[in-house]
Amino acid sequence: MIEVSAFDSRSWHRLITLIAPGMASRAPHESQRRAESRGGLLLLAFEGDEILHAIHSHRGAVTLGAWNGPLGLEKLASDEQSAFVIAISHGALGNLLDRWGARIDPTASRAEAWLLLLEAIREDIEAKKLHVWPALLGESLPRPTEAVLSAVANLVLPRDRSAFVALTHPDGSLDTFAALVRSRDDSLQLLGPECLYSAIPGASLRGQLSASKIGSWLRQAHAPPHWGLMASYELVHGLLRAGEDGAWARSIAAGEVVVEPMPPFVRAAVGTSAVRGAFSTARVMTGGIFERFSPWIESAIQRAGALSTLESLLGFDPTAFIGTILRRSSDSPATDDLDD
Amino acid sequence: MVHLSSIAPERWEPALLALAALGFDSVDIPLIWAEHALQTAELDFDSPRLSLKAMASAARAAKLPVRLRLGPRPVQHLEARGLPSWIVKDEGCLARNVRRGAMIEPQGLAIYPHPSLFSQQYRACVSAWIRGASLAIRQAFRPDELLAVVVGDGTTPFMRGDWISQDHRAPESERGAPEAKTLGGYLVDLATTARSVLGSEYSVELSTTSESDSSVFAALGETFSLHYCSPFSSAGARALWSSVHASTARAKLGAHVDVQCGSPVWGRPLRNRDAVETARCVLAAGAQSITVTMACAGAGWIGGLLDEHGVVRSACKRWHDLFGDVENVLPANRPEIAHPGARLEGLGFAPLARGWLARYDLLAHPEEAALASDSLVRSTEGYPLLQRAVGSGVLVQNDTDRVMQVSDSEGHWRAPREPLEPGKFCILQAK
Repeated sequence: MIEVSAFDSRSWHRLITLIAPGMASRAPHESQRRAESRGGLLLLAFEGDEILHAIHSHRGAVTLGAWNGPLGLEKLASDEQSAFVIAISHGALGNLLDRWGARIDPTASRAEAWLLLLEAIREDIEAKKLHVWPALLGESLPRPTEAVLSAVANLVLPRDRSAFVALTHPDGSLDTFAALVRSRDDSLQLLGPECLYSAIPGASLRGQLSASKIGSWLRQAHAPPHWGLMASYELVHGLLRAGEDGAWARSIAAGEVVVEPMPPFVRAAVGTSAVRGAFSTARVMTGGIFERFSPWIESAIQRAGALSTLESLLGFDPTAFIGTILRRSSDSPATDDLDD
Repeated sequence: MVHLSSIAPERWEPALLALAALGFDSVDIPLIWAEHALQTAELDFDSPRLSLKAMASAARAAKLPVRLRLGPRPVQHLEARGLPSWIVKDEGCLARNVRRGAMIEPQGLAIYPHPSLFSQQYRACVSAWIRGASLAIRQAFRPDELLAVVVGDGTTPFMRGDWISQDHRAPESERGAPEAKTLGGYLVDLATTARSVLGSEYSVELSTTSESDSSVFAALGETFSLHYCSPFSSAGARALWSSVHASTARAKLGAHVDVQCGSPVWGRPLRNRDAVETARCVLAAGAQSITVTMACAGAGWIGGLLDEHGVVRSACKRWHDLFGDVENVLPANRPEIAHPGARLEGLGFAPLARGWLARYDLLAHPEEAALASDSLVRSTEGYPLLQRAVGSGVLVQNDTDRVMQVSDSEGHWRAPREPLEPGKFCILQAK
């Protein structure tokens, strides 16, 4: 399990809604405004050519007409103004949970249990009992193994190392913060901003915090930092949603985003992204000349980054995947008081 | 609600004193079965972090009466919701799905099996826990220090609302009357066990969910005070109002509603401003009292009024303001309730002015059946007695034969011009 501590409600909310805006907290009286907004998830159950039940994440239960198969999902999404649609054959969800429960070995690892769920979902997708729109990941993507997940974990955060994200307000004071510490025995600890305030004098004040100060504190108090990121909340919010190649690389080069330390996997990812960005720019500037070489160049870029990036391990680029989802997602509430 | 065993014992008293200073008038303490019976069924109520006597002493010092929640699964954020690991590993205690596999409940990255209410083994283990805990409570708390002992699981399972009916544990291997194999029968079993040990000096209450079978809980509501977990704030004002109103109508001896402050690690995060608005809405809908869960962060809970060391966070200001709002409206004809404070014990009124109701979009649709079977907001038109008493204005009523309050069209509380029928109406006025 992950042990989480030192977050107040506000800093936790800011951190989570950065990557999951749909999870944003809302007051009871805001539900109507939410219902009228675009986006959200439409979840429906179908049987034969009929849609039995449908729930919209913004509007609750909705009544829909006939089930026109997976090809009709895009139109349904458009009609209901939803960003995502999941359609499940009647009874398939219970069946899915039952299959999952029957396969789980209580002595097996947590990762294995979740991979079994992934396998059960894939079976339902192949059996046309479960349809997802839009298809964010290719259907040919292989199911990751425990070894792959372990390699990803070791790449992102090896044992006895820490990583942190410090996001600031426009005036430079700390907005939210999280440090993940992986111990020698593989347990995880997620620390919030309250531990910074007590550890680093003046941490809450404008301009008093730096990536190197946070790194030193982590090294002394917990574990040496493997990587750290410090930038303004708004900039990271924008970069996560930017579909543009090289956006991260440019911000890092301009010093707007500080990555310190920068481990090889981040350097490789940023380098690949920068090359892709430069290639895109050159393609626009030179007209069709680059087009002849583009498959070769793309292949070379992929080979350059293949040795040590998450993309090479997982088979997809997780930042691009998150970006695709975030661009389709509605945004979290703008209001933010320190008492939140 | 403060999960005292999650903070250092030397911080218990300062934490409870801080809550009392904020305006809380009692404290709910969940006793977690998994903590008191870590390895085996043998119960520990004496270790420093688990000492009931030390808990009683801290509450006594803060002058806060106590409610103790025994569950067996009293909270949602702990591993297996507080069940000991030796229970969730025991095949004889677990529910079975149609494929004879485990009925599982994901909690973040972890996965836990559901216990089976059809399993006599599980029911016997739960009874032993309730009996042992009740005995220790009797030794640690005087009856006047304890508001109630609460039994029952107050939170809804994450994925399967109706997990009891989907439990396929073979009934032929179990004995017992069919009606005992329901949630209602299970709760009555728990309460009977607790009462048999605690005796009549101590009060026993039930904790459940508002979504549970209403006919069962209407019957239970005749005998017990009921605790409900309020729907999440994003469900909207109408859903909250409707749920709480249905709960209060069912609980003849009182409905207490749990309002979340903060969130479990893997749950939807909740800002303090939204938590307080939810509390306002729940009080308006007629909850007899609210319990703020979890007041103290730690052990898988994020946010909270107090941090992991029991120190007050700045967000408490919003709650303090709410208590201030509530205290500004005192019942004119119920002098016995001098200081309702945060808990509103026995008060049962709605401290909402018309402006607030309009904000919740409740004034525009008083006739909607979704709100309740009896309308909640009416004009005094058609109520000559009330009209004479308060003039034209807006009447907010919790229940047709219980409690009412009146505000004028500007949202100000009005004193009645003449006494109303005693025992039928309770008119509230500005202090």
